[in-house]
Formats: sequence, structure tokens, C-alpha cells
Amino acid sequence: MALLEIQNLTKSFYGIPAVDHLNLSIERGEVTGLIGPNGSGKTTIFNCITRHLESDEGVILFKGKDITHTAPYRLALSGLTRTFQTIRVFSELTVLENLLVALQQHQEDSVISRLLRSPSIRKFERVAREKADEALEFVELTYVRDLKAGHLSYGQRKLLALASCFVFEPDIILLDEPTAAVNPTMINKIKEHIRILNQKGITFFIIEHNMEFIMDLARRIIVLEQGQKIAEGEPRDIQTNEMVLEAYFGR
Amino acid sequence: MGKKLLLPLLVIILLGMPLIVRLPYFLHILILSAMYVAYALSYDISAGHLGSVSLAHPAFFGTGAYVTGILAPMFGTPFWANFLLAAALVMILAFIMAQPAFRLADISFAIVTLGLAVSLQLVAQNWVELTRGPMCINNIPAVSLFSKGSSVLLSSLQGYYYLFLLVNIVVIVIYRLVTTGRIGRTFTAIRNDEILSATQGINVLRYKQLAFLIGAALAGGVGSIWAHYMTVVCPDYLGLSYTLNLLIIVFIGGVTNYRGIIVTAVVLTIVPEVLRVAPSIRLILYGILLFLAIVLMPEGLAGLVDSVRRRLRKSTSELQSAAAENQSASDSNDATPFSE
Amino acid sequence: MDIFILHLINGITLGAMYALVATGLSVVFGVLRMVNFAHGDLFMLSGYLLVFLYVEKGVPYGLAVVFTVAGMVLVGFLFERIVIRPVVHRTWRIQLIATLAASIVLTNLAILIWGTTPRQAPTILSQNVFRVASVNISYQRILLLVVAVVSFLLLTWFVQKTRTGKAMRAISQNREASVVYGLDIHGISSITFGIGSGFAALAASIITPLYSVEPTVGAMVMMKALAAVILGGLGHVRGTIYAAVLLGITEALFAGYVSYPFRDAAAFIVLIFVLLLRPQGIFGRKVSI
Ligand SMILES: Nc1ncnc2c1ncn2[C@@H]1O[C@H](COP(=O)(O)OP(=O)(O)OP(=O)(O)O)[C@@H](O)[C@H]1O
Ligand SMILES: [Mg+2]
Repeated sequence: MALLEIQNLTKSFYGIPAVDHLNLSIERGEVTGLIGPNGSGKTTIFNCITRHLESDEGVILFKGKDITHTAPYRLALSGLTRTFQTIRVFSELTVLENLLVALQQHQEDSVISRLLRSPSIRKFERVAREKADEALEFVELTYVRDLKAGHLSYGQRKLLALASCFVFEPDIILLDEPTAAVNPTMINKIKEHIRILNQKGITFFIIEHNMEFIMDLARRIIVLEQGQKIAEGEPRDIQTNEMVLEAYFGR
Repeated sequence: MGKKLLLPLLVIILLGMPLIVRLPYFLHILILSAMYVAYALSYDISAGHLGSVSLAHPAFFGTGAYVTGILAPMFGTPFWANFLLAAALVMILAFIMAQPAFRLADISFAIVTLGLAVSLQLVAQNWVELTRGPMCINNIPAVSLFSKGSSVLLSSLQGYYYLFLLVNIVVIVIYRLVTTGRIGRTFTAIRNDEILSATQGINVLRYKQLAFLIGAALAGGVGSIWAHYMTVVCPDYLGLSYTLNLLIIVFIGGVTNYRGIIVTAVVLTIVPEVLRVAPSIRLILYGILLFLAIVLMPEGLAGLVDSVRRRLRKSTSELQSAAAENQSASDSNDATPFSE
Repeated sequence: MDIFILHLINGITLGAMYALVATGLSVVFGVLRMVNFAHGDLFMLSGYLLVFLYVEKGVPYGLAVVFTVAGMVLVGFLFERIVIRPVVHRTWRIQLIATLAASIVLTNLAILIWGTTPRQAPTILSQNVFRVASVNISYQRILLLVVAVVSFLLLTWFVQKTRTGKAMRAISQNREASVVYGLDIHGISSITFGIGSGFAALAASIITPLYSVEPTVGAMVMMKALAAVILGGLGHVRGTIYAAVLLGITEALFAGYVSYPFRDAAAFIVLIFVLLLRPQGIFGRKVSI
């Protein structure tokens, strides 16, 4: 059974289809790339999966369960999360708190015990702090740990957004252009991070325009044009696929 | 060193106030401002921390007052029981109102809460058998500490002053409990970015409702004590004019900034009373002030003070200048939801 | 049966009045994505302007209506310049509070200037009735219906056919793109407010002779209009008009058959039930995120 499966997904804006009867499936443990020209509907697919948009047609299955109409927060709790193309962080929280707030949602404490600050909360908080510190260590953000996230640079925000996804150990992370506007050194770091996390068992589904990056990282690439899948396969095959070259370079 | 002395000094001033202020009228104003402190803080929990700007808050205060106005004369229950009962019933009311209201986003939410508040006010005006309508419920007994017939009654102004101090302590403690720590952190996350919150597993709706219910319950409790103090409850307790007062206090004081709100509540209650400004002129001035505040300094007076302080620090400290620069660049984007 | 017809006619005229007020709100929302909570106060100011011209200065009624509408269009421009423009790009919360603040100021200015005693402006039309079977309808109500229908037709023509109207539609569909294409957003938003305020003035000039005007008269009318705007689907002008008529009829029937004192709650009861079923309003499209 595929971890994530999309069947016949369709989404139109003002009558124009942005995603057009799309089928795809992602196996557990994979890194899958999603590429395609600007406006080909990549982000829209993510938005439909995480239900930031209501799809017009189609079924989305996650771990075999129909999640087409599941609220985003429930998806996160069941192990599916994402980043956004325009980076989002909680600007008034510190870097550490950004991670803590994500982590604590996945701990089994009750609102009452949180209000009363019961001892169990202190334990949860300690565990969360350890995990958060570990994650910050991993993405090398420890030096800005207590800075408000609103004060971070763009690159730092990207790392933080990535960290707040993997910190609660989801099954799959959808990344929307993780390397956009990031310098080459940082791109390599991000690549390494994703590799290590993938080895730890996190599945990735990544939208990218940086071909070198995604061809190196992904085992399988899906190519989108005008909302339709025009090719799918290993990076080697995709790089030489005529249709893809045409879609991308107009050749 | 100065900070350490501040708190004991404040406590002494607050406790000693009735010894200095002996005119009943001035004591009444102090009590009024204490009521507004608690009332405004209860509003800020949901309106400020979560940005759910409801226009129904006076409905909770007023319902709390009516619950006590109707039940206290009947049963002669002690004031704390009335407080708890009012808070509990109002919480149930808020829960019912939340069901349609929170299905809507943003401005529609505000409008529906306004409609609900207006409907409740109509009930207070027209269900004469229960509320005596525009004739108001009078003769609500003074606060009694135990039960009916007990001789421990609180009816002096001094007594009420201390009672409202106590109410304020209760409200501030609850306010701090829900707006700091794990829950407060989640509130801030939701206020900063609802969409991101959801993708990290935060049940946004549940937290918004939680804040709404807690704020409502507190307002109901404050209303209950206010009914005892005033000895009357009228339909205009539920009216829009109270909403305006709350908005003025919370948004001039600075949303989520409890110190700013406390100071603003006290100042804006005392100043016009002392200057004896006619009510409509006062409201015109407040309206203009509110407009300027919200347009020019969305973080309120307290935010203004903060940014002045930051500027000062920036000029003295080389070290922080880098961070501060980074921040002023981002300030324009996303400092608070109110300045987006 | 006669009673029913009477209630129905009352309801329709009430609906026409709510529709005129709500249209202003809805047009403004459509173009600026903003609810103006001082709209009821513009209605109230129009009532006073009419009383001033017609009762105090003795201007003939028809002319007084024209001057009132023209005057209020100017007030609308001014209002947009002073209150709206500083908050056009801010969050809904700031817009809500800014326009509420404007509403406090206007209501209390009216109290200062005119006091709280209601003013009346009876006209020949409002004092004479028209009999159908055994039902009496004042001519003023018929005027209200005629004016409402004509002004909606005019508005439709304006929005569909004129350059400015087309620009308004463009902005309401896509604000960013409109800026790119060089539409004068400030100019359009001025005109939008002029229209909104003009509709409020039209409503007030015809309704004031039927009732009376006092500083707080705008509040309740405004709330019904708001209910109609949400019910009709925010920014959906035609939906708003239908919803306003629906609310007017419901209110009149509610007042006649259920409870007179609670008639003002009828609109909100309808609103809440509809929203429980369709959070986007009767005619509105669902907005994502
Ligand atoms: N919320 C929306 N409302 C209207 N149209 C939209 C919306 N979201 C996306 N679209 C349209 O759908 C199409 C696909 O957009 P999408 O954002 O999915 O593209 P993309 O493949 O992610 O492009 P890019 O590489 O530039 O990020 C575009 O034509 C876009 O204008
Ligand atoms: Mg995209």
C-alpha cells in the first residue's frame, strides 16, 4: 500500500483547471520530486493534499485512509505536514518556541493539565526541549535559539520551517521549493539534511525548480504541465525525456 | 533594584488607597476602573491573543449581571457562589453562541457576534416577567460572604474596593495562566499564522473557542459582582456602548499587553470623570483617539513605548544594532496580526 | 388574509429599505473587501440633512431629496479620504475598529448638534394612503419601492456598462492585477464610497418621513443591513438585495404573528440558521483558506 495516493485529482480556478485528473502515488521511504514550469499546478496539488484548498474531484488516500476532507491539523497529527512556498514561521515566538509549539501538539497532555501546569507537563516540556534542541543542533540554528523568528534572515527561516516539520517526526513532509533563494552552500546543507532525515524513515515529496538538486536527491521524478502528469520516472530517464525538454525549454 | 521595589510599592499604594481617597465619589471611580481592568482583560484573552474580535462581550458581562440580579434576591446565596454560577452559565451561553459564530471567518464572525449580542439585549428588554425589561432589576442584595441572613454583609465602599482588587487578582492570575506557557504559546502561534498552525497539528478552532469561553466566563463573573455593587441591572449592560469602551481600552492599551491594558483602563476611567467631560464629548474624543491609535500604532501605547525603548537601546549598543536592523525590516511585514 | 397582505406589504417596504442601505455596504465590500461600520451613521446624517433642508429651510421635498443625496455623495468622498484610505491595506480587525471609531464619533457629534429628541419630516405622500381592498398603504411606501427598483436598475447599468463600473468589477475580482493594469484604485474607492453613501442617503430621504430620525437610528438599520450583506454572500450585491427583502418580509411576518417586541431579532435568527447550513451565505461562493 502506498503511503500517499492521489486518484483523479482535479482543481479549477474560474473554470480553468490548475490540476487536471491527476493520479500519483508515493511509497513509504521514498524521496519524490515534483517538477514543472511556473503555474503548472504544483503548489495547488500540495494545497489540495493538505486541504488548504477544497479539491473539485478526486480522492486522496494517506496510509490507506481517505483524507480528501480531513482538516489540516488532523493530517499533521496523523503524520503529514508541509512547508510553504512563501516561508511561514511564527514571527512573535522565538526559534526554540517555534519548535516547541509544534512538538507539544503531538504530546498527549490535556488542556486542564496545561492550565494547572501539572508535573506531567513539566516532563513533557523537558522532553520537548530536548528534541527541539537536537533539531536546532541538526540544522545549525542553535546560535539563534532565543531570537524571535520574525528577526531571522530568509535562509534561517527556511531552515526553521524545515525543522518545525521534522521535529515531530511525521511520516511524510511535503516541501515546496526548499532551495528557492538560497545560496549554494546552504543548498548542499539542505540536501544533506533531507538525506539524513530520509534515512531515518521520513518520506519526502518535494517541489523544486533546481534540477541539479532534485535529480541528485530524488529517486523518482514526476513532471507536471498544465495540471497534467506528462512524465514520471528515474532522474536519468526524465533528463533525456523529449516531452520534458519541450515543456521546460520549449524545444 | 528599581524593579524589585516597584511591586511592593504598588501593593502598598493599592491597599492604602481607601485611606487616602475618602470621598465616596472618588472611591466609586476607583471601583469602576477596577471593574474595567478585569472586564477589559477578560476581553483581551480572545480578542487580543487570538484576534477573534467579538462584539458580544458585553452580552456575557450583562448576562452574568442578570443571572445574579435574578437569582441572588431569590436564594440569598453568597457572592462567590453567584460569581461561580454566573461564570458557569455564561460559559454555556458562550459555547452555544460559538457554534454558529466560529464557523465564520474574520469580519463575518464579528457581525454575527454583534447580531447575537443585539438579540440577547432584546431579550433583556422584552422578557419583562424575567428581567423587568427597561424598568431594570433593583434591590439586588449587597455581597454576603456566607448565606442568607448571615450578618457578614459587605456594603461599604471600602469593602467593595477590596473585593474588586481581589477580583482583579483572580482575573489576572487566570489571564496569565492561559496566555503564557504551553497554551499561551499556542495562542501566539495561532495569532501569528493560522495556516501554519494547522499544518503543525494545532486545532485552531478549539483553541479559539477555548479562549472565547474563558473570556466569557470571566466577564460573566465580573458582571455578577458588578450587579451586587450597583444593586441594579439594566438592559443597556448588554449594549454596544460597552463594546466600544472595551475596544478603546484594549486597542489603545495594546492587544496582548496586560500591563498596557490595566494602565489604560484606569487612566481612561479616571481622567474624564475628574475632568467632568460631557459623555458625548468624551466619546467623540475617545473615538478619535481610538482611530488614531489603531491607524498609527497598532500595537497600542505599550507598543509605542517599546519601540521608543528599542530605538534608545539601538543607539547605545553596537551589539544589538544588527538584530534590531533585521527586525525593523521584518516589523513592517508581520510584527502582529494587527499590523500585517 | 387582509392582515397577511398588510404584513407582506410592510415586509416588502421594510426589505426595500434594508436593501437600499445594504447595497451601499455590499458595493463597498465588493470593491474594497471591507465592511464599513459607520454606514448606519451615514444613513443617520442623511436623515438630518433632509430634515434640515426640507423642514427647516422649506426646500420642496423632491429637491430636498436630490440635495441630500448629492450632499451625502460628497460626504462619502470625504469619509473615504479621511477614514477609509488610511486603513485600506490593513487587516479586517483594524478596518473594523477604525470604522467603529468613526461611527462613535458621528453618533455623538449628532447628539451634540441635534440632541436626542427624534425629528420628523412628514410629507404629503407619507400622510396620504392608498387603499387596495381594505388595506391602507401610504404613498411614501410606494415611492420607496419605486425608488429602490429604479436605483438598483441604475446601479446595474452603471456597473455593467460604464468604464468606472467595469473598473470596480475588475478591482473586486483581482486587486493586485488591477494595480498592475494601472487602474486608479483610490479614485475608484472614492467613487464606491460616494455610491454607498448616496444609497444610504436615498434610503434615509424616503424613510425619514415615514418614521423619524435620531442619532442612534442608524445602528439598528445598519445591523439588519449587515445581516443582509452576510446572508446574501459578502460582496454579492444582487444576493444582498434578495436577502434584504427576505429579511424584511420575515421581520414583518414575525412581528405580526410571532412576537412584536422581538421582531428585531428575526433577522438574526434567520441569519444564524442559514449560516449553520451555508457558512458562505445564500448566494456566496465558498472562499477557501
Ligand atoms: N487560490 C487561487 N486562486 C486562483 N487561481 C489560483 C490559485 N492558486 C493557484 N491558482 C492558479 O493555478 C495555476 C497553478 O498555480 P500553482 O501555484 O499551483 O503553480 P506552481 O506550479 O506552484 O507554480 P510556481 O512554480 O510558479 O510556484 C496558476 O495559473 C495560478 O494562477
Ligand atoms: Mg508553486
